Amino acid sequence: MNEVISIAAGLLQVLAVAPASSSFLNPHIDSILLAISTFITRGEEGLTDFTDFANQLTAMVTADKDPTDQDFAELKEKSDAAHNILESIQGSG
Amino acid sequence: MSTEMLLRIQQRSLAGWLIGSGTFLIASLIFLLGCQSNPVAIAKTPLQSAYAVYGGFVIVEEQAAQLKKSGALASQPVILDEIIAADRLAKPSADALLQATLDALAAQHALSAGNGSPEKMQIATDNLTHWVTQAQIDILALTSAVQGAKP
Repeated sequence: MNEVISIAAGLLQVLAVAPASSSFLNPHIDSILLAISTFITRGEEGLTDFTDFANQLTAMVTADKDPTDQDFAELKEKSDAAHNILESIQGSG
Repeated sequence: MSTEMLLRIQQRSLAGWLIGSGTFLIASLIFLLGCQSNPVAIAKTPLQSAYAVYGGFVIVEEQAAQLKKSGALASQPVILDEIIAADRLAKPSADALLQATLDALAAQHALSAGNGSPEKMQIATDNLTHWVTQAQIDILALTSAVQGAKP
């Protein structure tokens, strides 16, 4: 499984930086790359999180609204907290 | 043109077609398997795409932090180090995406207020589109590392 993903990821990285040679696929690169992310994080918890997030985004799209500075600020706060945990020395092995 | 040259050209064309078809089939398969709950597929504007990618990154990063906090990887320090290294690669890219998004929002607000220009809005949107793609590439290693580490 991981090997397939690694190969596909490498392939798509090449395609992403070689637009002239992949004119058909490039418009779909964004969707494909994130679909891979969704697919490979399909653990029980990951699927729930992604589904909730997808539902939130669907509501935004349906309402024809763009995310606000506040929406991004909330995500940034979560990202920084998670990053700090990863960078903390305690329990890092 | 000699027969040998024609044969070589035909062989190259066939190889190119096979590579191209294979690439598309692999990508399509992965896309179809992963199309459920795909935030980027839902997004319709550049800002929504940015939100989808950044939000996806945060979910994966939180899963990585949870793995570390839970001690599930205490006996696998190498895997934990891989996750931390992947996060160190992904986070600057995600932060650049965030900055590009904030720039695009600022350009949009300025345009709405009559202080901006369509050219500045276009530059901000192009930059945002670039980082939406680049961040997805840089986040992929973190996603893979976290998935590989799940018990």
